[in-house]
Amino acid sequence: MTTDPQSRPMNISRRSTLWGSAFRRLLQDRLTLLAASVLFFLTFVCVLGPPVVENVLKVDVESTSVRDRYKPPSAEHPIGTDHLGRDLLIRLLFGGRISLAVAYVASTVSMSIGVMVGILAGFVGGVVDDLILWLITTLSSIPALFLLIIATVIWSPSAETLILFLAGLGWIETARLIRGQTITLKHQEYVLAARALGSTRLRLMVRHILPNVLSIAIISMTINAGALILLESGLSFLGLGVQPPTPTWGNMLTEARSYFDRGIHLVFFPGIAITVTVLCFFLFGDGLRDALDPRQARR
Amino acid sequence: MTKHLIRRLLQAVPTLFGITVISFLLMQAAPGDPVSMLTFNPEVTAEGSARLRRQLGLDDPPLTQYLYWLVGNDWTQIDVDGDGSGDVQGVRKGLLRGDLGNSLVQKRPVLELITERIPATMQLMLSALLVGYSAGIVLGLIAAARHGSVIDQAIRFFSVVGTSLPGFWLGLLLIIIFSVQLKWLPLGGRQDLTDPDAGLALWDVASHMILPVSVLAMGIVASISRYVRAEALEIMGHDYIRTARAKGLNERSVFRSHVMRNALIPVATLLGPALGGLIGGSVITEQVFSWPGMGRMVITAISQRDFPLIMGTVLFSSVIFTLGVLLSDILYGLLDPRVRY
Repeated sequence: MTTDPQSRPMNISRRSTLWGSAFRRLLQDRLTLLAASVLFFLTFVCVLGPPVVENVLKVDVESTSVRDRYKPPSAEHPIGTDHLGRDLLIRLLFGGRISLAVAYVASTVSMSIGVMVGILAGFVGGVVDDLILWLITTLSSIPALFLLIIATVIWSPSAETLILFLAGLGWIETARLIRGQTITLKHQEYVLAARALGSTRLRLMVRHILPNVLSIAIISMTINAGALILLESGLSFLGLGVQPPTPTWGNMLTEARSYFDRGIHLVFFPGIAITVTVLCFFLFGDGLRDALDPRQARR
Repeated sequence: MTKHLIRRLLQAVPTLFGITVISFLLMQAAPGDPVSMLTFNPEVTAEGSARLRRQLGLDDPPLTQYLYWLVGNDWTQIDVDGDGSGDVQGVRKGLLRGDLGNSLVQKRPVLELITERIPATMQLMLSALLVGYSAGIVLGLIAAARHGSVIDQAIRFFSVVGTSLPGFWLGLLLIIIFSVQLKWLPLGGRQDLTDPDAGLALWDVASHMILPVSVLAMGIVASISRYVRAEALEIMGHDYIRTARAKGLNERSVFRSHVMRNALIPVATLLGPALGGLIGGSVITEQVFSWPGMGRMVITAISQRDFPLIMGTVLFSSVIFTLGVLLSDILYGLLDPRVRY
């Protein structure tokens, strides 16, 4: 849409874009900003930390030491050592790589699937919608943890496949939301107008429906990311997630469980890492919702 | 209402059917059928295992296997020796008649094993539901009534953190604090209420429950309190609340008879999701606290690759879950007079 610069000052027309005003609202929401910065910081140290530790500091990550077992936090080991004398902070950074990869990759993939399936079901309707809705209802009737448990027992996945499994579950709720929104949107007049102008169904879906469901998709992706980290850690705790010695926050806790009487730091730090990350994803998702959909702002 | 009830019940049928299809497909995907595990046994000949395969119906086409699994095969003759004519009467009764197969390890009917474990799991889940709902409602209402205060902030903070805590971690921390350090509560396990030796040791029963129930209830408290608070705040913005104030009701009565009663109705719809969280959560909680319920049985079954038992439990839980969602829908319709069908 173009505006006549003479009749309307530029800054008003700039202010009126959805994403622009959402971003401005986000900048004023201090809690959401805090959550976003914590997430950014965690991602930063977990991505950059491991290569720095390995290549710059020349620390052998898997080096074990009988003498250094169960050391409490000290100057040398800021948050102590584990049952094999490995530095817990380094393990935490390495574990964070997997846990965060799960969050980012799985939630992005599941959002994409959810958006595609949701728009398809909502827009096309009819038998397609019935079938997809049936699949969604059925899959969401089986507790997610159980589905994951069975999948991991049958296929004993690596970290990459596990991410795919999680993505294969995460789309369900997103698709349900997107489907609902699509059904509302497709009866609106602008869609009718676009159809009258001769837009194909594909173009209607991509150009007219998709941009309008994107905000919901992004909000649910953020919240999903937190939920998937929790799910992955639960799975690891049951011994079915990514297998040691590859550390994840979940399997570090599982290992710590057998030795927690030797020092609470073994249990405390991986758990705090999970909680803080999940919390930040949830808070960030809430903040995004307020920013993108001011009508439903939390009070 | 009755019409709606019947329609809603019928809607659950395709879902239940879908659950059986997915369970069956997963079972088919599982590596190694019971017979192929026997091939390493030198006493089993190739001919013997072929006989066994035919007897168990493992060579039938998948659709036939699914049908037999669902409705049983006791109305057919099985061709055991492979000559084209039936020899033995089938024995399976099928899922629809409650036959979930036999556990590979314990050699007993899966349904029997599940029903043995149900009381323990139900004890945990229902207590958590009760505690979670009551605490969640109370906290949510307090937060709404003291909107904007420090208490409100604290409750909101608690409800966000509560949903972010991994249940097993909370469990471990509670064990470390209350069982290891303070030695107030047992590490885990369950004291059976019906155990004759326990006598009137009610504290013994309760003390084993406090920690697992708190862990399970945590998520429910968090989500319910958040929901109730939002709901109550929304209602407080309605015109009829202003009317109630204008006619001279004091704040307490306005809150009690106008805000609270309306805010609590939609809580019924959260029963479904809460149940889903509980079923998943109980697997982990039972593992943390060595609680002898269904969840712990599943984990043991997984380590033993006992697929019939795993699938049976999953099927059973999914059906319970579907019925729970159904119940919460119906309950909502009964509670809210605005919902008319």
